[in-house]
Amino acid sequence: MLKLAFPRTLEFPPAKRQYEVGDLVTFSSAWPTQLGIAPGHTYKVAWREDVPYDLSYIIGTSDYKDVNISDNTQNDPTNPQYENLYPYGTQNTLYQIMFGLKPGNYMLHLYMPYDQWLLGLEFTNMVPNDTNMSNARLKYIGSIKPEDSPHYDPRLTLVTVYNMVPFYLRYLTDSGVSGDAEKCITNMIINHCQLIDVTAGLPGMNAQGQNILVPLTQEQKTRNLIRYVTEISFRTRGPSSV
Amino acid sequence: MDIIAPSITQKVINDSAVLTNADNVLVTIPRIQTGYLTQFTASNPSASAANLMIEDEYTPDSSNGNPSPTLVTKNCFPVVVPPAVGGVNGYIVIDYGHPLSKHMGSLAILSDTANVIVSYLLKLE
Repeated sequence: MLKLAFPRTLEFPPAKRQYEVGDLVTFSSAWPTQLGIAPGHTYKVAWREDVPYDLSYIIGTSDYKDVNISDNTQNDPTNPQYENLYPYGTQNTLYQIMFGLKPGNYMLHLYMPYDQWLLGLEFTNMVPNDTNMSNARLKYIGSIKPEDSPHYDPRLTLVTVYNMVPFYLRYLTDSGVSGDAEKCITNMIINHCQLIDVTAGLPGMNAQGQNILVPLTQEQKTRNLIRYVTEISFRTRGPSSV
Repeated sequence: MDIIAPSITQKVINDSAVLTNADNVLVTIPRIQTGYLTQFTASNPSASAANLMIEDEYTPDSSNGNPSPTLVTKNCFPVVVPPAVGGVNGYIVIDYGHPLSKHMGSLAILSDTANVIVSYLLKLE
């Protein structure tokens, strides 16, 4: 569900990052039910559309703002604002959101749900919790800077589905910005995909020319495996679940 | 049908104004862009030097540490336009090789002298 492709090596041709019509995507069995998709099922992208949308915040130096990108406010104790970037009321739909950050002296921290950081390390306090936001050193733990996912080549992608647990972006303005504040601008491309469940197989023909459903291969099932937060974050995954 | 959204990487605001009686001109920076002044010219018909101040005005978004933000006016840099001599307006041209300041809300140009004509080129990113 969350993918951050740091540019460790130069890629040529560039790795394909957006789902296209005909692509197969599989939700791992760790996904909860009642989210408009079935855990463990494989879907084919039947239709897609890129929808651009931008977020912009002016935030004072060393200050931060939490942005709830979900469709609800149930998990937002401090700020009623939410950005409605989850599919709403439709089955078999996903949004693949690509976040591109415009330059500036700020960083992004990721939380799901509120106050539950996603990117942290094992040693005590090496996590981007609230207290560490004002720590000159530890505020950089798990932070994504504009150069990590620039607006002209976004590398931070997130898949959202209907009624998923709220996901938060925390915009933290670094100290020492020129002036009193920083303008944090995020250009997003929301890949709105409608899906068809093909877990039972893909249409095909047998040797006799009869229409049948051809079972999916293991490669097709795992080609675009979308893992849930409990599988990708050390916080929820833990050291003993390897 | 494929819908291809236009990608605009750079815009400019190129405009001019006459400032009268300590008036100011306010240029609004679009919400999703940041403005950088790249060129500035001013013409001063007065017999005394005109003092201009270029400001950035913005209201921060409500944030965790600042729930009730108020309008911020930040002085960016002053410009002194020479006085008119012998019927010829004082004139100044400034070509900023590099953006001097980031403008986030509105760019305000204030003058302490009447009838100063200013023109400016603002690069938006």
